[in-house]
Order: sequence, then C-alpha cells, then structure tokens
Amino acid sequence: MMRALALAALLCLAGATLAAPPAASPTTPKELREAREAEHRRAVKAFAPFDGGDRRDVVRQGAKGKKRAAHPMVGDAAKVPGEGPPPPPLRVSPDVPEAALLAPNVVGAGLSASPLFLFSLGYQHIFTKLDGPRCAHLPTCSRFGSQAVARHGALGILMTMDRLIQPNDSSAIRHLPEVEGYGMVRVFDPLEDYEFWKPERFTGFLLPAAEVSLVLPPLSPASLASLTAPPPETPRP
Amino acid sequence: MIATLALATVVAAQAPATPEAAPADSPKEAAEDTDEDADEAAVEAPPPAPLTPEQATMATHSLTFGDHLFLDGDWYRSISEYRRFLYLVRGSGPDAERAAMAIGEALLRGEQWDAAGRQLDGIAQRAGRLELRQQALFGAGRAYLLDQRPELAKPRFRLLVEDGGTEAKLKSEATWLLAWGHFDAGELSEARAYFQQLADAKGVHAEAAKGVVAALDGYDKLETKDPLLAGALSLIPGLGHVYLGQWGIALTSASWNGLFIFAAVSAWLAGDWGVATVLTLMEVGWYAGGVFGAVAGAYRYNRDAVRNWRDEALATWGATRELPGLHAVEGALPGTIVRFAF
Repeated sequence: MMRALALAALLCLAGATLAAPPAASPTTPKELREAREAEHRRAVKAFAPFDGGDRRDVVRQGAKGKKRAAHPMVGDAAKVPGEGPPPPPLRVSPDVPEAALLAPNVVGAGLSASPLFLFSLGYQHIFTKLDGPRCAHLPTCSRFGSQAVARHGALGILMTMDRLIQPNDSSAIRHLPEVEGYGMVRVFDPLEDYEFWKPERFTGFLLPAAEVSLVLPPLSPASLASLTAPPPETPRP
Repeated sequence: MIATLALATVVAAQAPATPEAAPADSPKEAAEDTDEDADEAAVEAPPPAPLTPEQATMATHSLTFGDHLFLDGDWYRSISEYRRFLYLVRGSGPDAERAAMAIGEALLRGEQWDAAGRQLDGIAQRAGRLELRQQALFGAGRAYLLDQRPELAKPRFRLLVEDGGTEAKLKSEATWLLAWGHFDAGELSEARAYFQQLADAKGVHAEAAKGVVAALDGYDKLETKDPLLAGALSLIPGLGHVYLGQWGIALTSASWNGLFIFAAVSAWLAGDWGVATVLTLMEVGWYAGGVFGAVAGAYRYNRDAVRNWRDEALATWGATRELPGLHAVEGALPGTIVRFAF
C-alpha cells in the first residue's frame, strides 16, 4: 500500500514537472545573449524569408566541426565574402612605383622569385601562425626584410641583419615610439630610419618642405557671403 | 572619352567668366586696392534680400545655440549651428564674421588642423576688412603650425609681421609663432633672429624668448657621434656599438660573430665544405650587418640628440604655442580667442 502511494506520488511529481511552464525570463548574460540572438534570427526569418536559406555558420579557425570564437589576431571578418567592411585601399608609397601596384605579377616578378622574399612569406604565414608573434617592431622583422630587399637588393640583407639585433630603442638616448599593430603594442621602426644616406631624414627636425607662397585677392566688401560655400583646397607639399 | 571631353568643353564655354583677381603680396597692398574694386563689386553683386522676422529670429537662435554648444565643448554640433546661421543670413550682417571665425576655432579646438586652416584661409581670402583678414591669417597660421606644416604657417605669420598696419599685440604674437615656425622647420638662425627681436622688445614673450635663445646656444654643444669612427671601430665586432653606448647590441654582435666564426673555422678545418660555406656566408652577413648597424646607429644617435634637445625646448618654452584655454579669457565669445581680439 505504501509502495503504491509512493509510486502515485512519484508519478504526480513527474507529471507536474513535465507540465511545468518553460523556464522564466533569461537572467544570466549568456541566456540574455542567446535570447537576443534567437529573437534576431526569428526577425530575420520573418522579414527576409527568401534569404533565410543563405545564412551559414562560418568556422574561422579551430578543429573541424567545432565552432569557436574568432581569434582577435587570426579571425578576420573582412575575409568572409559578404561580411565585414571592404579591405582598406593599397597604401601608396613614393618608394613603390605605381606600375608595381597596377601589375604586380610583371614588375614584381623578380621580387616574388627571390628566396628571401619567399622565406619571409612562409615565415609570416606559417611560422607566425604556429609560434605566435615574436617581433616587437613595426614593420615586423620579416616584413622589414622583404621591404629592404625589394628596395635595396643585397644591401637590404645587411639592413635586415642589423634590424634583427636591434632592441626597442632608437639609440642609447631615445626610445622608439610605441604604436598598435597586428593586435599588440609594438615599437615603430621603419625602413627609412636605416637609410642613413638620406640626410634629410636624420636632421631631427621635420622633413624639409619649400614654403608655399600665399596669394590673397583684394579686399571686397560683400565677399563674406561666399563663406556658405566650402573653402578652397590648401596645397599639400 | 571623346564625348566627355566635348561635354566638358561645352560646359566650360557656357560658364560665366570669373574675373581673375590680381595677387596682393600683403594685406596692406590689398587694402589699397579696395577702393578701386569696391565700386565694381557693388555694381556686380546684387544686395541680399532682407530677412523676414521669422528668418531673423531663427538666425539669432542658431547663433546663440551655436555659442552654447561651443562653450560646452561640443565643437562639431556648434559648427552645424554656425553654418546654419551663415546660411540664414547669407553671410552678411554684423555677426557673420564672428560665426565664420568660430567655425575655424571649433575645428582648431577639435584638433582638425587642416580643416581649420582651410576654413580660416577661406575667410582671409574672402574678407572685406583688413582687420578680419589679419586675424584669419593669424588663426590659419596657428592651425598649420599645430599641424606641423611650418611651410604653410610661416608665410601667413610673416605677412603679419612685415606689414606696417598690423596691431602691435597681434604683431608680437605673430612674431612669436613665426619664430617657432622657423624652429620647427630647423631654420635655427632665422628662429634665433626673431626670438632675439622679441627678447629685445621686452614684451609679453621676452622672458620665454630669452630662454629659447639660451636653448639655441645649447644646440651647438650637443654631443654627437662620428659615423666613420663607429664604422671603423665595428670592424672588431661589437666595438662600434660600445662607442654608441649600445652595450646590449655590442654583446649580442660580439657573441654571434664569435660563434659563427668559430663554427665556420671548425667546419673548414674538419673539411665539411658544405656546412663551412653556409656558415661563412651567414657570418659575412652578420659581420657586414654589424658594420652597417654601427654607421646607421651613429646617424640615429645624432638625430635623437637633436630630437631630445628639441623636445626639451618645446616642453620648457613652447607651452604658449598652443591655443589659449576655452575659458582662459573672461567673457570671450567663440571665434574671438583664435584671432587675439578679445
């Protein structure tokens, strides 16, 4: 009898548990985030029914079949088609000929065939991914080496050797400026600081620039009215 | 392409001819031309239509609200209000000049140096009064100086300094900033001449100018390193860097060169030609790189000595190059601090 009563009580409890309403409103941050994402998915499906099938999960790194959060250094939303902002435009440097940007496979043929350049590419894309960042400078040592060889040929090898034993100081009396690059704080030590045969870069003052002469029109009484239009461009040296 | 060129030609032919203004070398010369051109301008430009009472009220509110935002430090929204005011009053009236200058000052305080310089340059080019032109030139010069473009700042300050009609206080400030412009550009003899002129004048900046002149005396006494000597010493690996005071690099260079020389010699003696060749090539790279680094390091040392000296002079005497604080002058309205007219 007692056993039957206990069984009945257990069944009632199980029924009550099964019939219980769903969990209360989310309280923890994780529950809140999941609820927000679920609501977002519902909204997307409701308002864009024909695009719902195009959505897919992107595994940016990690083991197959296991989704992980994007690594701040490795994950790059811009590389996923249709996601993220467009890549930044090419930086145009006066030391890089324009033809090299327009037809890199033609002009840069010698560069891409260089063993040192290929080594630096492999170092950047294989060893750094495995071993993590080891260079405290910006440009990184491998990038510096490829730039130096591209600009100065064999002399670039000597510049790279010099760079590899440089500390984080510009000299014995001054620190290098710190900048943020590739996910960490680095010291800025560009190739130009090694080109000592360009004396204008080693004066300690701003780069020399010729004065831009100033041309002023005559004073006119009602000319301020044109201030509603944008002012003219100032020439940059 | 041909069609585009043809269209451009037609548009250019139909565009009204704009009279080319003769360039004036100084505001004073420009002022002399004013009388001749005033009548023509009055004939060509129709007078703006008078504002309705509603427009006048809205313009007043825009200017007042712009001032409120400005004094609250909300530079960019205040610019919108000043632009609205200028649009409503069509750039005319007693407050239009101040609103235009306030836009320049807001950009200056928002550290948009280039935009501030362009705005104030625009006022200087379109000004109807000599005083406004001088004040706009002063503000533009200050913007370019803060933007580290002394090649643009110097001509504006020089115009004020060399013009006889500039007010004494503005001329003194322009001389002070012109001297700093030469200082930034590395033209130290010109900078010294202007600083000495200020020190002799016994004005507001006399004490600071004396200090800068004393600092300029110290420039010639800076300790420098000889690149040739550094390169020659580094023929013994590490010694050139010891001369430069880079003890860490010296130790690294000596160790690496010693190790590679020892390994290469051992390989040659052991008859292991392949390893010996690779090690020798690498040692040549390390050795030549060390010599290169010593020479480049001497150049960097000399540059850094100048930079340290320059930073110290700026930190000690250059505080007044900056724009005065927002509330530095009691009751000064926006657009007046930048032109030194409070």
